[in-house]
Amino acid sequence: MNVITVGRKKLDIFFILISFFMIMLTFLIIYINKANRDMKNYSIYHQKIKELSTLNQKIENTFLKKYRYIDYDALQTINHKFQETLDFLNQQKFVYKFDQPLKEKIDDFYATYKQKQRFIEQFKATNSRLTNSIHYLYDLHQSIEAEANISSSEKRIFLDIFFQVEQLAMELPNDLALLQANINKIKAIKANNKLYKYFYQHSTLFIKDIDFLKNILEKNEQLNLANKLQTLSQELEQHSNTMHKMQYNISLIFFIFGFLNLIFLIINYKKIHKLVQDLFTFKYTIENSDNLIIITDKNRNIEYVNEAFEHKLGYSKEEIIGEQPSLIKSNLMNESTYRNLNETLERGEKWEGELINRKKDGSLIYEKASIVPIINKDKIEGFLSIKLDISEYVEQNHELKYLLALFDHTQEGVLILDQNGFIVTANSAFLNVCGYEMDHVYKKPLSSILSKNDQDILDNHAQTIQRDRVFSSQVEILTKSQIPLEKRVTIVAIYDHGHIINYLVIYRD
Amino acid sequence: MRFTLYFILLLSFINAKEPISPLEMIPYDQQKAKLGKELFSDPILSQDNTVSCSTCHILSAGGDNDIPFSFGIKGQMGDMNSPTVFNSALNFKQFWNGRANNLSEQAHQVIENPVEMGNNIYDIVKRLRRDKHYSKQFYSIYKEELEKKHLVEVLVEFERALITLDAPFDLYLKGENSAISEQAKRGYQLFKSKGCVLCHNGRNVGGNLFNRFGIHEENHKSKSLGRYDVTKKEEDKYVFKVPSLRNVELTAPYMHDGRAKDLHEAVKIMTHYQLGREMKKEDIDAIVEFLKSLTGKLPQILR
Repeated sequence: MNVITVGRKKLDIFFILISFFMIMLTFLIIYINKANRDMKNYSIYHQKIKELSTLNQKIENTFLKKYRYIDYDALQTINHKFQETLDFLNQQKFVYKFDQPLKEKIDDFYATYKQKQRFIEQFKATNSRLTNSIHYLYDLHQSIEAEANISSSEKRIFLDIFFQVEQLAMELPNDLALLQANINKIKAIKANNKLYKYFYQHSTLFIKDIDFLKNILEKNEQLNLANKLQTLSQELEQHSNTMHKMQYNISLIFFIFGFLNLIFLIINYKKIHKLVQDLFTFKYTIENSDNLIIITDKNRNIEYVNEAFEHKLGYSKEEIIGEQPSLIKSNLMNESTYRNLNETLERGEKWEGELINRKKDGSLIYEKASIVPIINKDKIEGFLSIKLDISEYVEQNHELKYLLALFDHTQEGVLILDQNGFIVTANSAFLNVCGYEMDHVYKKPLSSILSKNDQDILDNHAQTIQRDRVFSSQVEILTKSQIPLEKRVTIVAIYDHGHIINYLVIYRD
Repeated sequence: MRFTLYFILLLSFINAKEPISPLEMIPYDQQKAKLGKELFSDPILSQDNTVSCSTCHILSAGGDNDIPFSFGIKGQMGDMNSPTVFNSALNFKQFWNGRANNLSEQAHQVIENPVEMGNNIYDIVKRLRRDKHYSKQFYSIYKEELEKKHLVEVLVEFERALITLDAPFDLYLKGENSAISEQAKRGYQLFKSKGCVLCHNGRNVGGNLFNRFGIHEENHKSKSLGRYDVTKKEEDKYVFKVPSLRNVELTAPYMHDGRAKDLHEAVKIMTHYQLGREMKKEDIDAIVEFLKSLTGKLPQILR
């Protein structure tokens, strides 16, 4: 671990997914809202078209009441409502959704309605005229018998015309030529007499108007407004169904995308969750590590120390966080060490070395430290320092040095044996006195340098040594040249965890 | 005999329901109508400040004037007899030839007619905006700057208020038997049986259909071509809106060109040209008597 590179990638994906999901959801809501409004407009439109059908039916019913007095106010009200409904439907909020063919159908319907309105007006006028003529003919029919200055043969013609006009009005089979002939007869008789004149006028007009009315009603039938309304209604329904289907599909796509997005989010979340778990484990490990761990920001302000640090240095987290590591400097070290440390870290490299710091109580602590910069996007974000307390080791090292000096410079011969009684090392006093080189005795049993009588001294006195840890005896040590030297030997057993690991053999003259 | 039965059947319809119904007030906005009333009589709406609506529609004299044709700006003479403004809101179309579908269209057209007020409605709007009194009045109603639609709306609201309620005949219809004379009652019966009612019916006693002037006598000497001017269709020549007969007593002269000076003459012309029949003098008298019973009270807003 030379440098720590911090990765933000996972988090970024998470953020993007969340944003995407939100946008998706917003769009879906807006879309559904709009679709809902469209559907509502469609249903209003549909409803209005139904109303138009009813109104149209009412108009058609009026047409059935021909040759009678008709309440034109009522007809006008119907007509007015029809127009109002049309105007309502022509609003942009409805029409903009329609495709061209449907729009054309609607325009065509408008044009047809205009024609129909004209027919309605013509119907009203013609019907009034016809009805008036019926009134007149009725009146005349009532009074004709009493007319003194009309001959009975002429009366006959009058009555024939009445009858034929009635047939015409009731749409019964009739002979139009005969009627026309009769009317002409009346005209010929006395064109100047007002009664004849009016009678002629009414009869002629009646025939003409009845034909005209028939014509209007036929043309009106050809307009087939009711049928057009029904087609329009069907088209609209079809259109709205297509629309609905499309809206459904789009919503479904939105939903699927949203769902996939959600799955990605969950997968991502799981990864992050695992990462967090790992981090927890990691944090636990760091927290409980025997190593002293310090994390600082890029300005070397301490952000984190673990428990081992607190325990060893005597500072609590609250005291040390935010402080600089120089707080614990002992000033016992060369400035060059620090310079080297700083330069290495600034380069973004790892520094390793030993540091002497001061605990809160003033005592020293020796540390083997490894400090690495934490790098994110090529920038130093902070530093991680992992240190091992080596104070004990340093102290032991010192003690060992004293002992080694003692071992080497004492006048007494000293041998160290392993647990099996083989010589591991010997001091120079021994080597000088007995004339051995270290190689001569290394890994040789103690017995090899003793006279025959003392050969089994370790085996024979093992129990005593074990009990008292120490055993003393007069022995003869053989020099290299086989000269026995009388010496008093003390053997000390060295224990570790209840087991003998070494023997110390010291002799005196 | 069958013939008679059939006609009786047809005619019986008239007796089943009265073809004329009494007038009722229509809702209108008081404040707007009052402002409309003020503008109605103000020549500010005409190009040269000489003519107001009330020049031709004299509110104290039946809502029209007493001359066959009206004078517009610069003393120009129109070619149509002014119809009454009373109850005009109830007409299915406006003008004799029905060229306006409603009162706002009508007001608009009169203001811009070069022979009538000869103005551009946008110029009037500008003029009214400059006028301290009117701009203040309009602002107090609409809370925004005066627009064309506001001007037209107040005029229309005023006209909607001009319903002449409680004509003696209406009271009679409502059950007050003595509201009209016996002669008028006989006139009403004749009005129905002689066929007048076939065109003059409904609440406004007319004003809800077009018909040809000169149904039975085409030699009627009308200069105006009527609805033909609007539709340009041959069959619409001499077709006019059937006018309302309410307050007819006050709206002489009669016909679209004011050719009839009094009601007797008007009824005679109608029976000859439209009904195609002869009517006895006493029948005409009775019908005139009935027509006179159609005169309602002056609308509340004018009192």
